[in-house]
Amino acid sequence: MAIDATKIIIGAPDQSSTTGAVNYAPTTATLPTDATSALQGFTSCGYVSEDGVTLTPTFNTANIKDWSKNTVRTLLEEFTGEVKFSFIQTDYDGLCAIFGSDHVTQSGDAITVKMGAHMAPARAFAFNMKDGEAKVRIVLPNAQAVVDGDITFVANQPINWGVKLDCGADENGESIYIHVDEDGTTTTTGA
Amino acid sequence: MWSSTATVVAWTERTLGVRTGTYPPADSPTDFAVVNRVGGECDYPHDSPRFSIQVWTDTEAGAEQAALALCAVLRGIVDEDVRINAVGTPSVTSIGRDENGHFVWQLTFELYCNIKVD
Repeated sequence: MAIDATKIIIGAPDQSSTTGAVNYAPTTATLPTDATSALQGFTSCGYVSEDGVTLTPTFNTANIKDWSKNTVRTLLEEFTGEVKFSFIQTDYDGLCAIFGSDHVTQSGDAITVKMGAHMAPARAFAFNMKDGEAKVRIVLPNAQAVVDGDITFVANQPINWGVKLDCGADENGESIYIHVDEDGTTTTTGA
Repeated sequence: MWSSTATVVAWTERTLGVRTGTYPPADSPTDFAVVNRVGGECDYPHDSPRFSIQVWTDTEAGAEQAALALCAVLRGIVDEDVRINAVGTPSVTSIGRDENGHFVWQLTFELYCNIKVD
């Protein structure tokens, strides 16, 4: 393929003044199969820190060597997927994404988070990104959210709610879908 | 070709409701705004212009209030055009008073754009 600078795509959040780029839904929700269709049954979350979203797929392999110590075959032992980001917007929907709605209560403007030896339920997540007219969407069909790292409270920085999503597999054995739509041409990758 | 400067000029004019251009108007009205590109890298198809918006009014408080009002809604500028990917955090400065009695406050910020030409 010839080089084409216009196909260098960045991962800016696809968000508006009313809708965030991080969305979650029950694992039973109908998942999007492309980068552009409207999400159905998803809850939109707020601002993510300037560090953006990091997807870490890990393929653990084992090499089989022959008598002469040359690698003759590589076996996949394990695949894991992990997504990390930090909410800098503190609100009910974002906290529910991390802790689960059973452990976050809201009454008017008052929110209470109850942390303990429990986790939020596994959920589907969708991350919407854009670069001009190009769209990129990461879909995690079965992700487990946990708090990632310290939550620091300082006078001149937003509270960062670090989130780690462990990507479980769906009924097709896929843990992560990456949908790219560049000017109407849809490409889908499952991992 | 699309102009990020023209987009910022139109957004500022609509947001503040004052005449806005890339240089001070000759008739020097009481309130106006001036938008200039003051830097930023362009690595096609991505362009990251750095803009200054200077708000000129007849009171110090008015200029400050207008500059802060722009800051408050600046994130919404990404909705102005699909080519705007994101906007950086604005920096605000008091410039001073000119010989015609205008007080000037300025905000500077970066836009992150995809200026791909079809």
